[in-house]
Amino acid sequence: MSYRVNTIPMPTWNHLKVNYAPEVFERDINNSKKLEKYSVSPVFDDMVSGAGADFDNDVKANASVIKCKSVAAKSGDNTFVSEYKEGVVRECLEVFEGAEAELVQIIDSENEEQLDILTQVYAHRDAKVKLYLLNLSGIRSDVRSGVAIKAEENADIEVVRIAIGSLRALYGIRSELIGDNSRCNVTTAYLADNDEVLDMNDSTNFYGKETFSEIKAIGLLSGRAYKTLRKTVDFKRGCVHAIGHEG
Amino acid sequence: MFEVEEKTRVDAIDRTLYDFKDKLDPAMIVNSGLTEKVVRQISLEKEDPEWMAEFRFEALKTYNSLDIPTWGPPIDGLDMDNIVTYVRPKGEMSAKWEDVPEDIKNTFEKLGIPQSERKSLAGVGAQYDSEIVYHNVRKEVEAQGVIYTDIESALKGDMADVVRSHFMKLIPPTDHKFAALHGAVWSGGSFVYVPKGVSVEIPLQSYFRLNAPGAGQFEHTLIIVEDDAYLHFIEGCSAPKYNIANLHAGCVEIYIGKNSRVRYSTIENWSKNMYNLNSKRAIVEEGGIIEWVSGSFGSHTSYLYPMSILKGDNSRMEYTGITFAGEGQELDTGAKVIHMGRNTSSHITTKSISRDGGKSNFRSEVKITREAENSKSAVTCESLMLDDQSRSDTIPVSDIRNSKVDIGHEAKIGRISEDSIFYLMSRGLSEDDAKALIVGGFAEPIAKELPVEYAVEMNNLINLEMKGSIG
Amino acid sequence: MALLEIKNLKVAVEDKTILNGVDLKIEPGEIHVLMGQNGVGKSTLVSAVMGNPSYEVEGGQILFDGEVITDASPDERARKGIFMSFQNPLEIPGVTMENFLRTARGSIKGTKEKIVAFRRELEEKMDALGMDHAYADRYLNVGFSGGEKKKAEILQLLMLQPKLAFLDETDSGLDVDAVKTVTQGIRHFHNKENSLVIITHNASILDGLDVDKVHVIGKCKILRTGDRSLIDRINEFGYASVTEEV
Repeated sequence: MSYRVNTIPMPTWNHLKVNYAPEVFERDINNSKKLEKYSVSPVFDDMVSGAGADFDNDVKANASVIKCKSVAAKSGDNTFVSEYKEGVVRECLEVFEGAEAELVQIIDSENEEQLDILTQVYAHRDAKVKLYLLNLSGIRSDVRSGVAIKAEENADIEVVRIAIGSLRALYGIRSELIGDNSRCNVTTAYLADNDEVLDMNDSTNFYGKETFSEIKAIGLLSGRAYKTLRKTVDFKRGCVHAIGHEG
Repeated sequence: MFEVEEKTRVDAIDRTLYDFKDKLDPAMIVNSGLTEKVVRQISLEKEDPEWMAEFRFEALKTYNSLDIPTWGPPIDGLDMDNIVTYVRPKGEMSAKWEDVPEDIKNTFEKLGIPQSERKSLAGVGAQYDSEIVYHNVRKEVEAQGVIYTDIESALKGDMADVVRSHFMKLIPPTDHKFAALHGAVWSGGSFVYVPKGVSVEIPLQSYFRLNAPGAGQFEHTLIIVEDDAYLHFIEGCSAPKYNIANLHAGCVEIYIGKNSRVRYSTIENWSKNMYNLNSKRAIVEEGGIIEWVSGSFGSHTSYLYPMSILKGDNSRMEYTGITFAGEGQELDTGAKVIHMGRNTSSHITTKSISRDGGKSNFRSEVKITREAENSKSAVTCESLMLDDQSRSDTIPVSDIRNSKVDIGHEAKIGRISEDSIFYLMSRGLSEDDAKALIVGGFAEPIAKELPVEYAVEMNNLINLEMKGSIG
Repeated sequence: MALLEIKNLKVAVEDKTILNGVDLKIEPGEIHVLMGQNGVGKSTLVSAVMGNPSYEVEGGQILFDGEVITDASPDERARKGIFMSFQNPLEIPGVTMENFLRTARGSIKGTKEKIVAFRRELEEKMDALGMDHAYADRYLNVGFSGGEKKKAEILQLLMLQPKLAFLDETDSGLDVDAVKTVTQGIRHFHNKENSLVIITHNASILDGLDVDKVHVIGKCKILRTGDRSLIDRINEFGYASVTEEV
């Protein structure tokens, strides 16, 4: 199954090769472990990750690992650490009104391994979420990571992404600030060398009033490493006094 | 801004004047559609040199092999089979104003060309439909060795070899489908040659106009400026309104020699059914400068992204543009620059205004090659939306192959401020006047770059657009 | 006939009632002073009289020159002769102060302003306010200091010659000398025909002005009206001293 990932919301000249990730890789994974029946909270149904709806649907249909966590205001344990190496993974985190949660997701795949991972985060009113995405994989792995975030009123989300592994790494974070005063900041640190390909597609969609988002990336390239960085701030109708930075 | 004489100025460029059309009385209209037969007919009629006839056929093949662009605003309203590509008005090349046919003269008088003459502009190459009908180069410019003529004459005259070695070399027909179309059916346009060391002090001016229903216009402008020279070229476009989709696919190629500077100013004001798919490109040698000043008004859909190739070390480009998209319009404008030489710099500054559901997109491409060390680029785009029906997208792309560069881009997007409107209304301005004043102020940095009569025209256009008096 | 008459005015901002039944009458030639603690609705009253669409008039009437203007647009009110100076004047990039003022006066008077004569008049008034002529060619309020903005508001007052002017804390943020200059400008403006409403915490802007009435606003109403001596009492003993007696 092949499809485009990391498509930007508003395309530009095709010759620039930024409209979507030029890398297409067929998954070469045995899906025998595919989960046939499971259910997740309906809040995750219509969320779309930065990698794109096709990617999301593929992962949803073929996931061999599904982790769902929810945190209510009185939950004691609100820090989660997940570690993945290969396969098709879906991880969902729902943080209820006024609750706080931290998710540390570590990708540590070996040479020649492939990992497709869809991460969905839903923050209810006044929730606070910290999401750490660490790719520390061996250099010859392929990783595709799609992240979908939705924030209700006054929710505050902080994403830190450390991208220092994989031969081919495709990352896409898409957040929707649906509630007034909601915030989502995405900070990426990357390091790529040899002939590594790094492809990122991060976007924030502002719906609520006085919403705020900052998308930042810093890093280093060496050797023949190649990086494509797409950042979109999309101000929808009604998002008065919203502020978006990308830089 | 909106001075007390506003009314008279507005009347002078009222849309009803821009939308007048003379009775269509062409000497020849070729068959609709684009076939080899049409291209041959154009070529024969033009008495093309052999190489040009070949060039047209090659371009036609390219045209047929290319797809229409998929990344931009929709252009499916275009029906190439129904576009009469070539209309020649009555009358031959004219050297004197008196000899210009009366109805054409009326058109130009309403556009104010004779006045421009009196304002000591250097010369007018006004294109009426697809043919140059009036061309007058001022003697002092000629005396400097400057050649300013229609390109079809240049193709056959002393400059034939120069035209041949430059024509569509910067924008080859393979560039995109509409460049190929242009190559096949191009007709009319201007040719400018500025010799080494010559500074042309008065701006050269050109007007393009469409007049026949369904007529496409494919004028070609070729400007060659040798080393240590200066030229300001002004292009003004307007077209009357028709019901059939109109297409404009012109081409502008500018060659800038060492340490030369060229300023290319445009105010495009197409009728609201026009598809304006224009290509403009400049190549700049060492120490040279290209300055684009561009105002895009009117048209149904525009694709316009002047491109600058900074080939020589220390060459520079500056692009200043404004776009105004009203109801039913989608204007896709921007700029491209390729830094090839070292210490090159580019500054792209644009403003866009959209209202009544208009869409205004800005896109840019900044490419810095491995060789272009110590290059600098700054892209700034400011968008003003006058209501929540309108849309504005900004898509700046940078392709950097070199770490010794200084690049930046900045985009600002916003709605017109209610508080500012109230402030101005509390001083007696009507809501419309208050908005027009704010929008005029927003456009002021661009207007400042234009020659004064164009700046006045632009302000009047904004005023007209703001008052919604034109549909 | 009163120049301005406000009857039982109720004003809300974002569904919150700020003024609940204000009555006020201003005769031609009078100077009124509005006082009250921060946030009690002084500026709301001014904005409502000027017709700011963010302020919703929930009840009552505003009459100017005997005409009901409660539903008139801000520009209609300006053309009838109402003016307000803004506490925080807005910046209008790309529009020079001179062009703006000429456009504004053209709109208010319905006449064409002669460019040279207008410029001369503008420069005279700028001299009176100690403003550099260069400000005429600068974009309206863009990059002006707080004090310069306030002076520019008074300059607009002098150029537009309204019948009724509201000066909303024009003296705040000004140094002593600047307050003097502004006060001179106000004195220069005022005559028997026109009226002023001055919102201030500071008596020095009133030097040399013949204050007719002082109103104290609080609790969504005018709590107390008196003469100039009220100002001194407030400054000495605070607002409570004049409102608690009510």
